[in-house]
Amino acid sequence: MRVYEPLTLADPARRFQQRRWIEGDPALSQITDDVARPLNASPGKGWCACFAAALTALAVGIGCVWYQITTGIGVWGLNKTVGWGFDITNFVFWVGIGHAGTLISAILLLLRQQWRTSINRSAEAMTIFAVMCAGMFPLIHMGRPWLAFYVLPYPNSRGPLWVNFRSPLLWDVFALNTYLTISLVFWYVGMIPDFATLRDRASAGVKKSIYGILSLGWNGSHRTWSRYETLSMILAGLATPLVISVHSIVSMDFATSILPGWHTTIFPPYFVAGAVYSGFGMVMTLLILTRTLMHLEKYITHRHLDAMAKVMLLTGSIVGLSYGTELYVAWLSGNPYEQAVFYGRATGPYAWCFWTMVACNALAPQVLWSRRVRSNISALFVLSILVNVGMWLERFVIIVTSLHRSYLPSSWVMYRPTMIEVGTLIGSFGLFFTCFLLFIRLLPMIAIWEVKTGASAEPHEVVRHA
Amino acid sequence: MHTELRFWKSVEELRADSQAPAGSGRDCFAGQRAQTGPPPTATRRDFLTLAGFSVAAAAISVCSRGRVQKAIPFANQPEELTPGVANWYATTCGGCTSGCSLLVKTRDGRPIKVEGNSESSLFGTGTCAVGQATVLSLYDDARLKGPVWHGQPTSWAEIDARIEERLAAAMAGHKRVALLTRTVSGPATRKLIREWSSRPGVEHVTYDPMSCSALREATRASFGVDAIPHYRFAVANVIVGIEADFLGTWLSPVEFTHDYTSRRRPESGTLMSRHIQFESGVSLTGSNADIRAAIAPSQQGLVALGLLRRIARKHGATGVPDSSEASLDRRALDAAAEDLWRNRGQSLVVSGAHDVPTQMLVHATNALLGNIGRTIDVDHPSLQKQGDDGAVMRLVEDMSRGNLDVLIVYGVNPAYDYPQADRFIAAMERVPLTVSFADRLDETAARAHAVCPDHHFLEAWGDAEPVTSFYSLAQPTIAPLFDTRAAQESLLKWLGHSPDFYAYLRGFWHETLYPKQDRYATFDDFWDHSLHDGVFVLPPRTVSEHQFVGDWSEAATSVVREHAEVAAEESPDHYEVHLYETVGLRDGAHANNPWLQELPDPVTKVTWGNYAAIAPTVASRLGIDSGDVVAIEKGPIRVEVPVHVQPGQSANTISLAVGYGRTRVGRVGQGVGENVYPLAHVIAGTRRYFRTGVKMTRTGRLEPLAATQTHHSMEGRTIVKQTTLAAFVESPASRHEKQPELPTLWAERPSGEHRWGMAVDLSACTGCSACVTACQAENNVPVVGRDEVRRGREMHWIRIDRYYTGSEDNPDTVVQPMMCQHCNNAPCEPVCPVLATVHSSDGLNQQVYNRCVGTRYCENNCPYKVRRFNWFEYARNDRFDFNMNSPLGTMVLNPDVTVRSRGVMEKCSLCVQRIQAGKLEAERDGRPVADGDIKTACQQACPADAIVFGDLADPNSRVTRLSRSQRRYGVLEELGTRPGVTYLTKVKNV
Repeated sequence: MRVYEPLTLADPARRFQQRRWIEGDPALSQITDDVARPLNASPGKGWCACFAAALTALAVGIGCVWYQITTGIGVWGLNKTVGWGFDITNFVFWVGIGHAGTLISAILLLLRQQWRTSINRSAEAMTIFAVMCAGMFPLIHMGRPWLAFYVLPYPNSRGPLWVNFRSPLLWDVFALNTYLTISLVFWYVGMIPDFATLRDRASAGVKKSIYGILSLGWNGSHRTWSRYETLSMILAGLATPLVISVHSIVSMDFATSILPGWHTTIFPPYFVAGAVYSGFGMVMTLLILTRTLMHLEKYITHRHLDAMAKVMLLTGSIVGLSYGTELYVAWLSGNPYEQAVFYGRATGPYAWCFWTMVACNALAPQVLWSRRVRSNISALFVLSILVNVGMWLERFVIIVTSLHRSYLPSSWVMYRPTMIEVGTLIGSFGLFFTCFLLFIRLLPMIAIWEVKTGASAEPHEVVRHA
Repeated sequence: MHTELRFWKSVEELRADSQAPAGSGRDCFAGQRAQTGPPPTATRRDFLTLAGFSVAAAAISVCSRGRVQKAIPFANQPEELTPGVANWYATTCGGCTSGCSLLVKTRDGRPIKVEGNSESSLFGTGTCAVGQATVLSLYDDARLKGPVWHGQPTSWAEIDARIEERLAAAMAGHKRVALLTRTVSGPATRKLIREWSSRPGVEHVTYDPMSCSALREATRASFGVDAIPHYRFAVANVIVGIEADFLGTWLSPVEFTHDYTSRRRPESGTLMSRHIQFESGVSLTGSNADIRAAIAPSQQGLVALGLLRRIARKHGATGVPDSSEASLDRRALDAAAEDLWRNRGQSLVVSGAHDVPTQMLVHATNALLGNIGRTIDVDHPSLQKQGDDGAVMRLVEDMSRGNLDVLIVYGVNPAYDYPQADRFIAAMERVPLTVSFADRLDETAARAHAVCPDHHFLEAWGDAEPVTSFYSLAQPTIAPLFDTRAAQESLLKWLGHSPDFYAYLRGFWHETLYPKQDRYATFDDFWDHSLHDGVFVLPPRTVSEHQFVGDWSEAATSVVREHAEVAAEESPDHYEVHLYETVGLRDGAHANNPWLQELPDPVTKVTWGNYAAIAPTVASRLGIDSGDVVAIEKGPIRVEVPVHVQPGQSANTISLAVGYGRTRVGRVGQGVGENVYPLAHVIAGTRRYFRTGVKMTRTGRLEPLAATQTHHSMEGRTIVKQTTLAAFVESPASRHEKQPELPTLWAERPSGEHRWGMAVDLSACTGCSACVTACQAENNVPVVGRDEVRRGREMHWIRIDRYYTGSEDNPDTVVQPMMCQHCNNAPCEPVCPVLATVHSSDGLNQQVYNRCVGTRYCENNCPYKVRRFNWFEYARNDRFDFNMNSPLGTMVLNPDVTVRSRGVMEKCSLCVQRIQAGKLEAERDGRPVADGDIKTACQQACPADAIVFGDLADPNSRVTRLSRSQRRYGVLEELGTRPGVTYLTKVKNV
């Protein structure tokens, strides 16, 4: 039974439309050659420099985390009033980053957006690595991380002691693990045909056998393809609600509390939009870098960046609208605590964070209304960095400004991060980029088979002469 | 394990074998003997199984982190000592010279907690922060372990021989010997000292670092009684205080707090007292006053004179000279005089002034008001401060002239706290033999030739007579920890008596006090009862009429003259410095006590160090803020301290706390703050604790204060509710917007047998912070140090929030003890992912340390911010080198309470260990828990009786009655947390 329309498009008109997404109309073998090139060649100087920097950052992070775990959370700047700072800010930031990948591969697959084919692989990889970085923070933010398994509901001999299903932190555990699992499976399944291609191209040896194992005996038969596409759609269907659920649940870490500034019903959609926004920002940053670094300008084209910029414009505007709504609702509520928090955000000691956030997230993307900006790679790159900074600050503002001045003024304090916290943040970027740089060297960073389906459904010559 | 197949021939044989071990009356080894068949042999599999098990077991045991500690049981169980059960002994506090009566809790032979002695009619059941902390001083690493001769440890025999030899030589040569002691109120010790001073050439001088010499001299000049009167705040309808911090540090703060707050409860049936305070810095007392007027320290005399003039005018007496009142708050003076006059005979004027004429004017005012014999008891004077400034000066003079042969220093440390410490030190060097009884090598002892360390008061016999006819016994609660000897025994030994102070004390009580009573037939009976109760009170003497016999006009002239001299050198860039004692450190003797160093000042909330408190106007004029270091200079004296901007501080004055800047005290207190005693000076024979014409300049350095509260306004929120007496009388529920009963989605919690709760009367609470230290002692709350307090990480389970309302120049101050509210709908509970904080069936919000993984969500979600996180390992960690890092210091830990490890959250448990103990005791006796059986540590320590704990499920309990009071409210009730702690609105009598 077919429940979907085949992705291989026979209609020439639509095919024509698809073809515009990659430049130069390369031959199918050329596509494979281009994508597989970095996997076989020695790394370039640029890659080596980036990798060295990423490893250094990772080492800094490992040092900081080691120091923190052996000494105590006290090496951070948290205190009796502000229980979360950089740790959970980084967590939410990375979870947000992790949103674009699944959105691109699952939702855009379901929506038949062919332009995603060039970017979905690396976006998914980014998702995995971002979720790994994110997952690290709830672990290390615990006072006793060696007891982290207490948050898992497993049969035990201590009572048995069960977990608290009312706690949003527990929902987080489930949401995050589900998301990571599905994303991993989706990513891997997406790579199977490419592994087969690489296997077939590799000469006998270790490489061939590794690709052979990874390709799970792919033989390229029609039956295989048919089952494969069914599985892809099922996984896409499974992953789609997760895109919504993960960040909704992360937002409930805050929304279910009684803290003014956190206790808001707008949070789930607001967080999801923000997550997609920051995710696209990060995809944009990475792709602009890698297309230059790995010479894939043909496959990741201006049109891709333009499409992503439009998504950013949309989600950025939603985020901006949410800021306004929050302020308005705080005023409308008549709740003095709520009003004080939002007034404090805009005028208090962390006001500079708030206004930088507004400038980066709500105002800056408005320039994307202009086609000229959308086609200017440098402008897009700068903007994507601004979005990353802004979205990190958004989480910082939400967490810290709400905590540092809540109900009883006697406990109002300031939170100042320490170098260890900054080092841990740097370390998470180190982990992320180390993984990503390894990914682009070891795995096909563009879905070869999918790009080919976009390039041509017919034998290549026929298309060329059509 | 592999076993041989075994065949059996009959059922009996099988059963006999299998039932044998369980058979009644037969021991389990019988069965083994009965076993038949060949012994089981080990097979290859058995060998491998065992080998595998052994390797695994060895590996596991090597991995074990547990330290092997051998517990050795008592070979002979000491009488009256059950392991795990506390013994209580009555004694007398040695924390300061107030001499409060205490009960000491000892566990397995170790004193671990002190409480007020309910048998004491004078002091009530409360204590103060210092008293609570004295138990930690017992386990101070810095204490001397034995006698020291010229800096070298020696034996008692040797040091005695050397001292006796020189003493004998001095006495034989008719040389002079001086005994410089702190105030000694104990009659037995006083008798011993009299025996000394009756020897030719021996003189006894009493020295108080913060002296009340002027008050004593003024009392002699006014009433012919050479002592400090006993003030009775409980019978005063109007109290006017002039720079007297009687609730915090003056004379007998526990007693005064108890008496004062007994008149601050609007429902109590008695008239609520009115309190008017004139002072420069904001003291604990001033922060509680109904009306507070800021004055410069040099104006104390003018205020006293202004009061006297007004009262005299009303009385019709003449002879009070005129004086300028331009710089005084005349309205406050008029109101005070009016109130005083209206309450003649039931009013009280007290002054902490250190000059005789001012104190005489105050005495004259009280005499005109007819307060003598009523609110002021001259017949039973206080013996809590006996220092004689003039005698000390003469002694130092003699010493520096080389006229003294032997100086014995007992309980004082003038090389640190004498205003001209340099002079004292130089003079000490001219004395051929100086002996100190100090418990550590403090500034004086380090320079003495011989140090004969005294016991800690919890190790020693003693007595006290804080107020005439009120006796209090002190008994050892532990055998001396070190090779120390009671100072009295040293004194006895050198007199040639048997060095047994216990016998001496008993003998004294037998001779002197036993005959004065007729309740007990034998002395043993009398002694046992007195020792058990801790206190013994003689019936009051007949009250004699005390006429004011002083010359007030001369005193007034002198006051005016002195003020004129001060005014002459006044200029806008010169300041008046006012020296005061803090509630925690007092005169500095306890500077090595980490609990007291970390106790937030009740008003400023600053810990670990002193600071220059300046008025906000001065701060903005100079462009400085809290934390900026300023240099304070007067002549050659220069101290550099950070600034604290203090709302209510009198303009152009600087308040500086003494007691800091110790140089030789121990690793905790050394170098904390600056020593400001050198700024005190002597005028007209008395030490004055203020200085005029002082310069203050910025240094440009920054030294952030370690304050536990940095925001001081309630931001318009109704957190502390306050009303006036008039409004309260009109409607007891005044200032109480009735909170609408909010609908809730949560099911009502099933009510257990109990619902523990608490009520805090904000009208009674003065903010003295005794509860903070009591809680720290009871619940093993760690000390975190200055840097961690600066980072906002103090661990106190109970804190006193202090807010200012009104103008910055003279604000109203309100305080609020804040601890876990044990909410019925606790926001911390649902957010914990691992159920580490849960609700008990009797209404407690419990924290399960073993389960806590430290996500800190509960801390974030607690609207009261009472949860405390263990950011580090605070015990046995060199980063936190306080009491919990020394084997000696950990002896103070309460064995009933877990010491928390790093990474877990903690908070007030409502002293769950006490609740459990109370419930167990009731269960053992087969009765329900009675109201008042269980007291939390904060409640028990509270001298104001402001905290009441009890069972809200019991309709007749005190806490239930209070929580239904018309003054009741819950903090942040509108959030639907349904707190188990109720607050009663503060009522001000304005």
